[in-house]
Amino acid sequence: MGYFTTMNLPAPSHAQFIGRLRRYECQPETAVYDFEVALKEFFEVEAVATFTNCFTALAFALLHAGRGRARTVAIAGQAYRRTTDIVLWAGLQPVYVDNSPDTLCMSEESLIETLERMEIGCLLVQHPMVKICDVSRFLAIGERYGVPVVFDSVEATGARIGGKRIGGFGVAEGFSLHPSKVINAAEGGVLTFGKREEYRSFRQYLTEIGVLCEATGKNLIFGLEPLHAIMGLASLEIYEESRARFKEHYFRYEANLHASKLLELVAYEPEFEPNYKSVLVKIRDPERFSRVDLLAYLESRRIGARAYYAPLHPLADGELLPQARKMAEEYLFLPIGHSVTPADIDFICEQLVNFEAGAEGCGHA
Amino acid sequence: MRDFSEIFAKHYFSNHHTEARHLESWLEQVLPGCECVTFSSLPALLVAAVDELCDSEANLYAAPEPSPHALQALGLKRFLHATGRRQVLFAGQEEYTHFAEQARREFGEGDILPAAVLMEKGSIRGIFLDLAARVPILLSAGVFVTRDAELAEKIRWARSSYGRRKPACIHIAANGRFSELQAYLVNCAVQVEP
Repeated sequence: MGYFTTMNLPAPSHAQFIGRLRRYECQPETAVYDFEVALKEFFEVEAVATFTNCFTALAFALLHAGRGRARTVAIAGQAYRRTTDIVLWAGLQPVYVDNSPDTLCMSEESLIETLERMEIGCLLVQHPMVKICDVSRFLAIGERYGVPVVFDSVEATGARIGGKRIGGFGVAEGFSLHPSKVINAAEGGVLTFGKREEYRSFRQYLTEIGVLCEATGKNLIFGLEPLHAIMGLASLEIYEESRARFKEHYFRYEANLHASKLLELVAYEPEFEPNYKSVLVKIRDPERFSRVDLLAYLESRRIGARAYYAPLHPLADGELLPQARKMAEEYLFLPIGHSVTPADIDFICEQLVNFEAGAEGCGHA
Repeated sequence: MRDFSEIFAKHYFSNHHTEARHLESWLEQVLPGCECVTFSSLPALLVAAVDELCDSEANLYAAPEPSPHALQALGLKRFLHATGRRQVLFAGQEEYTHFAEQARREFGEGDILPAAVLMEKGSIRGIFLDLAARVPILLSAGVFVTRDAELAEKIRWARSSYGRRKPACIHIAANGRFSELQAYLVNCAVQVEP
């Protein structure tokens, strides 16, 4: 039996990739240029900048946005596990803000409380899995307190707000190109800019700090590998096909889980035209059903479900983040993508039923 | 080239870093007694080394011109300054030739010309290589070579993927993983089969 994982999102076929590789092998640098043009079109933005990975891309976005300001970045308590590392690598200091149990992202009320009591250099707002942040609300808060906003938007890739594609909001938005993401370039990161002036200012900053060559404008030290640009180009071609497959999988899970007493499926909101890339579930009664036990049970059946972003970073240990801590015990995401078929999803859901029955039979989980 | 379609289908879609691990194993066979740590790019590797050695007396020397990495090192110098980090130093031509000779004695014969060396109290603690020279399509493919297992493991954990031993205590975690595609191409160039 195969192993069902959350990593294997649909990717281009070998033939598609090799075709492009051959086209660019004599002039690999043109692949990066072509990929950036394609990304600009996909995200419907003024400009994009690509990097070795999204970690580096977001670090530079924070450094640029927070220039001349306090060296603090407000981030959600429960966030992608590397978010704190991104802030620290940029030489900045994370300030943790509690999450909202409704939106799963940073709580707007908690953010306002934080901004009232301390100086924050920049906000890093992350779209969680499935849900879309209230972008206009965060931008309004940023404007009210004079704090720039950077978005980490990989989970919302392809989605729209009010008809406008996510990518053009705030100072910049970051998107990872890792194999577990919607645009799969094997590795890489991209920043998207809704305003050309912001992009120009960003490039000027990167030149000042030695990342871009003054003479050629080339990214000297953290540029995207042409190999990954080639993979990314092939991935962009199959976005609609990938999205259709994710959607099929999501609705298969929905049909299987609608009566589950164990899990509640976090629902997509079709008005945002989401990518349907993640199947995120919440344990309804975490005191009765342990996520640790559930993950171990699924793993024993070769189902690679994963905890949703737990645990909180050690730097957040002393912080009052009640919602973030609660959320960190309740959510997991299930296999989707290249590694699963609809029949596999039925099998996975059957195992969830078996776990629930076994736990109930024992009187505990 | 090995059958890339098989690699593409099998290894690429996993997060086991099979190709990257095999590259490291092969390098360690070629350089006995050494630990080799791959990193997605040489500049990112040098930043990780600077971060991990911030409390030590070790110094990082970048190869001067006409090394192909000299321009990169200049950019890196400005980046390190802008982010408040320790500096990479530049050795003169004569001094660096001396370092390169020390590296050959320390790590074996061959045409090792490191892109940077890590020196502490007159001894070489490690060298930094860029394997991308063997793979025209790659921009960069950093490798750190050292006999210091503890330091090697710290750099692996700073890379944040495919470490070997228990998590090491590090200053700043980065993102330096090779993609499987990158590692595959380097393995093909050096004829390594997993």
